[in-house]
Amino acid sequence: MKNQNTIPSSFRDPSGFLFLYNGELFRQINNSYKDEYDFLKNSGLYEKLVQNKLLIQHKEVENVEISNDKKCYKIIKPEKINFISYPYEWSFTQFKQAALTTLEIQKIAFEYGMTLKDASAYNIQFFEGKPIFIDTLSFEKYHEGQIWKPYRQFCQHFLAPLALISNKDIRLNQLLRIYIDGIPLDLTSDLLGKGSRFSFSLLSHIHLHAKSQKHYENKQVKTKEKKIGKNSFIGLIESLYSGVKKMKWTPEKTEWGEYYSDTNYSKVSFNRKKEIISKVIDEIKPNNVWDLGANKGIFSRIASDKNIETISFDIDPIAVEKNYLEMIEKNEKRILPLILDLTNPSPGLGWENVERDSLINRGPSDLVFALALIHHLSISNNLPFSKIVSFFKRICKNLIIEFVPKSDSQVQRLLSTREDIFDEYNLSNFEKEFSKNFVIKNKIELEESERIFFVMENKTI
Amino acid sequence: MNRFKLIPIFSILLVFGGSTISDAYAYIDPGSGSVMIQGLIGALVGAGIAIKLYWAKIRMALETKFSKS
Repeated sequence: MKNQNTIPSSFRDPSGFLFLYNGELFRQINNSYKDEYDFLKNSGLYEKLVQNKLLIQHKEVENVEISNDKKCYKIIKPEKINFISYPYEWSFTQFKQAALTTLEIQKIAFEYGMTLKDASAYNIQFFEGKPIFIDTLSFEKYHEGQIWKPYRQFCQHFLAPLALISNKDIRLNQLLRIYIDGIPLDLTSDLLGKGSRFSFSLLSHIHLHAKSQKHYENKQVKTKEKKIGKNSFIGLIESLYSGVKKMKWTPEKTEWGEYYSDTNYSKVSFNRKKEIISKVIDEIKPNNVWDLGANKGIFSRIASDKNIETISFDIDPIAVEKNYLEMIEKNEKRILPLILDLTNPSPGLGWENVERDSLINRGPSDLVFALALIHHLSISNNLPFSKIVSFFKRICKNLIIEFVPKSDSQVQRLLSTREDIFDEYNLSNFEKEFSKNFVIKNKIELEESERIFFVMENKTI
Repeated sequence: MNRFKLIPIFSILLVFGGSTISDAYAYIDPGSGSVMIQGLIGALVGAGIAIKLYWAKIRMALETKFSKS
């Protein structure tokens, strides 16, 4: 096998694995999964799920030269998802829809005589504006009497974070960064507190579930021999579905929600800013855009409306939620809002730190927007220009960055509560530092504003 | 809730649980406690669904009977 690299996130399942071959993504199906795969295809389940846009479509690859592995039954080529996102980057509604999608798939699979054998949140990705299941090998034939094997995993990966967000605080979804196999249920139970026991769903699937785990922790139980009836099986899934469906999170206020109305932009310069960005996109013609500090995605949509795949990152989960709700309302397919703290971006996680990719490893992007961002990085986070440059040169081929001078009211606001130790924060140092790694292609001054836009090309990629 | 209070719950669970099934090829560990509790929850909800269904049937039958009379 030449030029084949196994994807480090797919080593656990003995049914097969993902690999890259000449830069393209393939999935090997092992002989041990032959019966299940054939059943998935022949029962009509695969077609039904693909038709409903719930499962990623694939093609079977005839050219078996790719693999000389004796265990190999088939090679399939799934449709490409350009940007992989992770649950700790999702807003509440994204998370809820991902959970419901998993359960919908389970319900449909059951009608076709199959069931899911895992229910990992990492099996869901956002594709053309909707959550989609990406693991074609997660299905197995249902045998009457069998338990729902992914129950624990579903509760840890979906129910626990959703319950914590909905009942306590959205920031608790960051626990998924620590617990790669979902938030432990005893911890969730403790964090939720006694009040949540009035909900049947939380009482049963979180609190009693956690107690049961504790109760059987050191006991020899023949779980392999455990059997539950068909109606109980259906009841369990229905109960989870209605529990998730009822969960709500109402964002009250956002850190930056009123930012657009609270800047020193006049309407004219705001529209001019949009025109500048639109023109830069047309010149660079990127395949993808990352908008950093995107808020509710006003500028991201300039790119996504041009049919360019755009990731709209913001640190504020409320802004990301609003952005996502707008995406649903407008049925947009090219924008993906995600939560990201740029000062501590998603790291490489899991075994050997490579099961889940860091933000940097998921790049570089063709074009990065850093609009009204530099002062937050420099002044709120004490980052010297050189450090900002060393990050940007790793994540983008092209950059449109807005320089916000010290005299700007937004910078003054940041400085009002702290000592001004930022002597180096000026236009000349900004240009000097960026020029070390970027070619400044264009410099555009904004009328009725002191801000300046720089269009730059990365010299190092 | 202490473990003694849970004993009746897990007793019901064993009643609803019961017989055997051959090992399926799970590559994730379903977890003992998770396996034991899902039978109980499933049975409770499953019974609720069944009652709802039968109740709807009974109601329909009664309504038909009374509307005829």
